[in-house]
Amino acid sequence: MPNLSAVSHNHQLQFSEPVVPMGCHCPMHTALAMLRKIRGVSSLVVGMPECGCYSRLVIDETFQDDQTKHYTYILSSKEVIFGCADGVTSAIDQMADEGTERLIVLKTCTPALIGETLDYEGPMPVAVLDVAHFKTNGYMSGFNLLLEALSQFMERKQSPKRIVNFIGDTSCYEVDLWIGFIETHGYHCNKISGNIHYNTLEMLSHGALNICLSYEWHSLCVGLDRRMNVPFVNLFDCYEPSQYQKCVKNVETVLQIDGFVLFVQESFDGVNARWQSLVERTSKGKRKNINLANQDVQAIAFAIALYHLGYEVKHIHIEQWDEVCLKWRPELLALGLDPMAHYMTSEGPFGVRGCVGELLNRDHCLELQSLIGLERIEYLMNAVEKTEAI
Amino acid sequence: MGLVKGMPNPSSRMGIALGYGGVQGLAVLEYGTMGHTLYQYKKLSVNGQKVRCNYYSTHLKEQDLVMGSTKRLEQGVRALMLQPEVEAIAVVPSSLGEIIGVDLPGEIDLLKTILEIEKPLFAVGKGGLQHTFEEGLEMGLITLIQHLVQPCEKDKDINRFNVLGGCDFNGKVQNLENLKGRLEEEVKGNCHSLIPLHTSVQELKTCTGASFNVVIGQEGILAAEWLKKTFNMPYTYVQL
Repeated sequence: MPNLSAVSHNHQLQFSEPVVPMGCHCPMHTALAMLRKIRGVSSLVVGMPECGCYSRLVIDETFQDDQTKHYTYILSSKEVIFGCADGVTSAIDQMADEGTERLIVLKTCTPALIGETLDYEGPMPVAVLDVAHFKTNGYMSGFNLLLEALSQFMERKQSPKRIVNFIGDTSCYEVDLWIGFIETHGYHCNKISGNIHYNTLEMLSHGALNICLSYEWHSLCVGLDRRMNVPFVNLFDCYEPSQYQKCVKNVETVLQIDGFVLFVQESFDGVNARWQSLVERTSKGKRKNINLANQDVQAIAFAIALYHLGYEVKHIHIEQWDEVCLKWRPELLALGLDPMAHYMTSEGPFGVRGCVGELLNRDHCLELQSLIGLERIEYLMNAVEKTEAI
Repeated sequence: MGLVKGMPNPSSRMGIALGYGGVQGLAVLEYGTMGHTLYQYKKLSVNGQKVRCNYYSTHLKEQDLVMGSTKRLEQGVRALMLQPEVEAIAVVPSSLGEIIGVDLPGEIDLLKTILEIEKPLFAVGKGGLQHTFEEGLEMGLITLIQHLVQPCEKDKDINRFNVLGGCDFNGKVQNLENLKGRLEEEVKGNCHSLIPLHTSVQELKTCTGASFNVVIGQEGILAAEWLKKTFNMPYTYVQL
């Protein structure tokens, strides 16, 4: 098993156990789970009966309206040998004739294995996502591939407007505080999460700033930045006051609004003081070893925060090796930490999947990730203090 | 099948894997990617069925498929042999394994020569490219019976019977107690085991102690015929 410093690709991440109990979802699942929330985009799952049948567990309403249809294309044994491009092209043509305006084709394990590219040339925008599970360990790439594809469909039809979009799911009141302040400076704020129409999603390309609250939406923000120069600020990987302060400063700079840092200063000072006191207390003793086996947190950024709170991560679960991991790795290595990186599947020698040692179980981690900013940092400090007290 | 707007027809491999859901003590090890294995479990849960077997996956990476490697299969079997709650291992294929031409029964035979195999270990069926769901159920049931059933003394209760079959994709048989009661009344006997709806590896080993079998699904006929030929167990078909 490699150390984190040696990892450059998902394939290097080995399972923590020789056989996987039950298993984890594949990228098709998450791509469809996200698509289920976006009307105006259709999908076609291309694969074997398993993929076709089980994808209906994710999307049970296969026809919502003319533009929102979710069908499957099931390969015959002959097509496995001779290819399915002709059949899939006919199916796409049929969907176009029936009113589909944009289509996501999900290429599952079997068409990917037999080398089908499924290129389509026609007036309807079609994106082919390679969601073969053998190319990855987990399911996060499903979100990334889908939203990157959707960002490629988008066109900027209007000049940028004074709009700030908060994208992602959160149960945090801090977002409302930010919105309240930003709107007093002549901006309009939108909250975007699930159950929207594609046209609303396309409005993101007209914004002045996208603030990303959940990892699932990150690749959409990256795509919009690259293609249409819509800047974004990530809040989903912020676990410490110093990281939070950088995010606030970025927002102030991009939007050119004065006083945002001052606006949050009072709340920030309170949380920061408590954080520094906790850091000082925990740094006096020996750091505790901990295994980070949760798949919902941004593991490397979280490991950095844990280090400052007196925990040294020895084994780290990496759900998906991507640019977010690359961004945070140098900082963790600079602290002198180089944990062993795995893909943890369930209850194994390096911890129970979903847990961060004895500090946080899966439910706690989900709750932590649903919060952002200072609320999240306070939640983390409460968990550490409770564990220390025990 | 081509373009399907509703629910596609399930494959034989799904029949094998789902059919084993009610067998306690059985480890169902899929030689394939993880996503299927989890979905199998979820499908049974959606059907309202309690999953009694343990599902496992070897998972497969790109290099395993390119090189035709079965190393993960060997690792998986070794690990499962050490687990006390696992009493038998059924290795189930996937479409990927069949496409790259992995001979699972051959691989299992090879593993039996190089590993200390203390528990029943068998491979089932094909990867779902040609056969139907019902054929998969049938294949799964006959293979289970052939590998686990042992000769034993007949039970003193001459009205003891086993039930064979009853699985389907949507879990139509919902109330197992009602089913048992109904069949006991209809054939005037006492039910030993519902195979494979609600049974265990131990019950399978002793099922030849019953006097006869009651078949409630087409997929159980082949297994019933084999038991009749091998253990002289008559059977009757009851339409549910």
